[in-house]
Amino acid sequence: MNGGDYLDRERGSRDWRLLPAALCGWAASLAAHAGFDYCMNHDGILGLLPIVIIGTVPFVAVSGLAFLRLSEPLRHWLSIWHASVTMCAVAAVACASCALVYDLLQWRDPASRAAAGGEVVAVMVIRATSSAVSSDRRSNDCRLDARTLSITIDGIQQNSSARIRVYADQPECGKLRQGGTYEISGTISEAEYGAMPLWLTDAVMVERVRSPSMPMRVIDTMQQAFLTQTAQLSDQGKILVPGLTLGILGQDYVPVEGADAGIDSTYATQVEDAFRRSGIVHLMAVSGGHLAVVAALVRGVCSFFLAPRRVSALLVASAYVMLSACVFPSDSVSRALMMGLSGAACQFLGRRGQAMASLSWITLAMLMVCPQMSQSFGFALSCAAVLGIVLFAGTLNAWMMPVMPRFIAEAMSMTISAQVFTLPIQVLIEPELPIFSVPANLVVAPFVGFSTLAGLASLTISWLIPWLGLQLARVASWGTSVMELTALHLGSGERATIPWAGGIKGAVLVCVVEAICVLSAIATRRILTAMIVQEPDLPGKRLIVNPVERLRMWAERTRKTLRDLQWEQ
Amino acid sequence: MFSDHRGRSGWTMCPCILQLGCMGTFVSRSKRFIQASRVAGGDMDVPLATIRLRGLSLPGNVPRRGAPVGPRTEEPDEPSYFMEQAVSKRTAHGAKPTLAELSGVRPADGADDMERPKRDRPRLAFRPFHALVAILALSCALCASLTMLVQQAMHYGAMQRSQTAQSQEQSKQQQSQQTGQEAPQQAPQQTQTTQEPQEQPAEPTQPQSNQIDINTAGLEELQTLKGVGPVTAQRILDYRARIGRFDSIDQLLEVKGIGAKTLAKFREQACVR
Repeated sequence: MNGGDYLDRERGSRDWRLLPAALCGWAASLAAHAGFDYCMNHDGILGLLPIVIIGTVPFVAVSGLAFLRLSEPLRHWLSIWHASVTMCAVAAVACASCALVYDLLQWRDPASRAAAGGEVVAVMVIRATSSAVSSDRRSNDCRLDARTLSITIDGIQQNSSARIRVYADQPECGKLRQGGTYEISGTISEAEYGAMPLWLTDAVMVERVRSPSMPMRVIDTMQQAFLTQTAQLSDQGKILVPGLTLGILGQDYVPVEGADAGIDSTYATQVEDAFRRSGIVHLMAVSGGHLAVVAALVRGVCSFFLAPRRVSALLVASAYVMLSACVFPSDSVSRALMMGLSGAACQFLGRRGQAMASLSWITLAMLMVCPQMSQSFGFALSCAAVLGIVLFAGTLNAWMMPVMPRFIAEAMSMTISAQVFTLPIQVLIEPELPIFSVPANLVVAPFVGFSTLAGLASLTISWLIPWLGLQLARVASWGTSVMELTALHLGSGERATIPWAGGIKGAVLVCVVEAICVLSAIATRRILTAMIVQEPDLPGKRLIVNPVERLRMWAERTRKTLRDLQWEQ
Repeated sequence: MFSDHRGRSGWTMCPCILQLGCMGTFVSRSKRFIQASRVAGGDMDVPLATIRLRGLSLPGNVPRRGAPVGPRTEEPDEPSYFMEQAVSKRTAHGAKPTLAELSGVRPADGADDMERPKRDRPRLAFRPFHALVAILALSCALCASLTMLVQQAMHYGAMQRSQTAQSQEQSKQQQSQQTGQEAPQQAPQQTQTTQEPQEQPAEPTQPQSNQIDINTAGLEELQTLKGVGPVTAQRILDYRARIGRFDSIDQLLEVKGIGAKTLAKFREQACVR
């Protein structure tokens, strides 16, 4: 039977069962957000949306009963796939319900209701969820992401829990710290762009209600000390070393009390654009790569001391948590932290970790706990990169390893497999394709590891021994100088990017082009294999097939022969 | 070397598979042989390796002479010469199996495709039980996340903080108002300003049995409040005697030694009834 044959050929170490469910959940969450927006724009009646969402699962489950009456091959096929389809439906329903509830709660929040009526002057008590960074609005100095606690309009105070972006000017910017609670008067309005749905602009009279907690204050001190040291580096070091270490570029940091780092804004914009156009801007966002570097260090130390597996796992998990707390918060950091913790948990239990299964579970969990993540580009890029690496990196590495040195093969396979799924999302953000992203990533790959480690060491030590922190930051800036050179040479100019169609059309087009490339690569490989192998009906693989290997053998034998040859006098 | 392989017949002359050539002399799984062993030993489905290991006695089989050495794949049903010799020797001497008989790889040991398929496909199909477990986990996660989302929206903690901020504002307003106002006038004003926020519930804290009523508490009870010592408790009692009764907890800010931070510390423990 075909079905039995398929089940017998399944491999437990490649568990992709939840991938369709995670994709369905994401799609359903997006659809629920879009459906809610549509309903609210048209008379505010939800209509059949909740019933459709709730009714899907029983419908799918019950419809499976129909296959009891079908003929044998179809019945067997359905019995295998029915559970998977039900799983996809359940995941979709769960994510869609969370998205719907979140949208409803946000919609009836007093702050959202006030902003929906136009700009309103209000006094708000907010809790800052990120640090103050440079504003993207020209009329303000800094911006801050926060969650509202209460809103007071015309003397009426109401509880509120909405996500809001606060725009403020100096000297208020210096007062705003991550984790603190503040009372701010300003104008609340709906957001014109950006990740947050509400804006609080023209902020005056910022009063601190509650200071950040002790750990947040310690982290803030560490970050400020580190950024004081990086302000003494060269121009590119001032911009790139904070970006590589903390995830925030040097020009985006708002210094305390007006102490300027002295970064030329034109140069800074040029560097940032060059990074984006050459395809290495992902280095400036904290992601799994940083956590992997730290984990490798911690595991190396633990194995040097022959620590037991559980101790090593606990240390790695705590290192992940501390690193995520010290860097600037973002969606990709949260995703990387969750995946890292699940890997550490697998190590603790002594089980082999399954990257695809943990990615799917974490995606579903984050989509249910924070439904706004389905619309977040940072989260999508992060998940897409990991998905590409998990699916394709091993195969690509096996293909490339015989023909090129190992580190080049590994770097190239990681880059290409990560780009497979992130290119369509990048096209959605910016309708252009970077041509030189693969060579650029290859060039900078050797320097990322030690630069990141040096930057993190500088972050840890700058508040205790500033001089040592400066030296470590200088080491990190050597690595970033290579990145800057690469970006400026490969990323500037007219030929660095191909303009592409924007929006969904562009993304679909990119997927089609990628599919064609992949299929042609597979077809070429099959043809080459068929051509080279002369005894196709024998089992096993020929040893010396590729020319690089033959060349290597020839060189070795020639050298040996010449060495052993006896020359007669 | 390997590159000398040419055509189908060439590989048999390659020295690297000398072993394989020898292995061909050993019998592959042959029905007759196994059936014979079953008849003899009375064991069901005993594999060949076990037979070799146990050195079972077998019915007298005449060893065939002149059996060719080489791959025997085209005649799988006939017992081979060497195996029977070895077995009969064992039978004769009652000795344990030798290393030569145990070692090596034989064609019988290799499984063909029908018995052990190569597992190369990723796992995509859910078994019903696994699907049920995963659905249960997703349902638990859904309940937890919905509870968290609704709780964030309710946000009881925010009410306290906003109360503190609001009472700070009120105390500032009262200090900036003209002095000389008497306490009874202050009390209705304060109750007015506390009634202004219409959306807010009138009492931030629900009446609970372990809360202290500051209108009826004694000295010892007041000292159980966090941040309130004997001196402050006495001052509260004095102030209460002066104004008659407390109408709101925020009136405690009037007492010397109680500021906004101190009030925030014991706000949950005290109530006005």
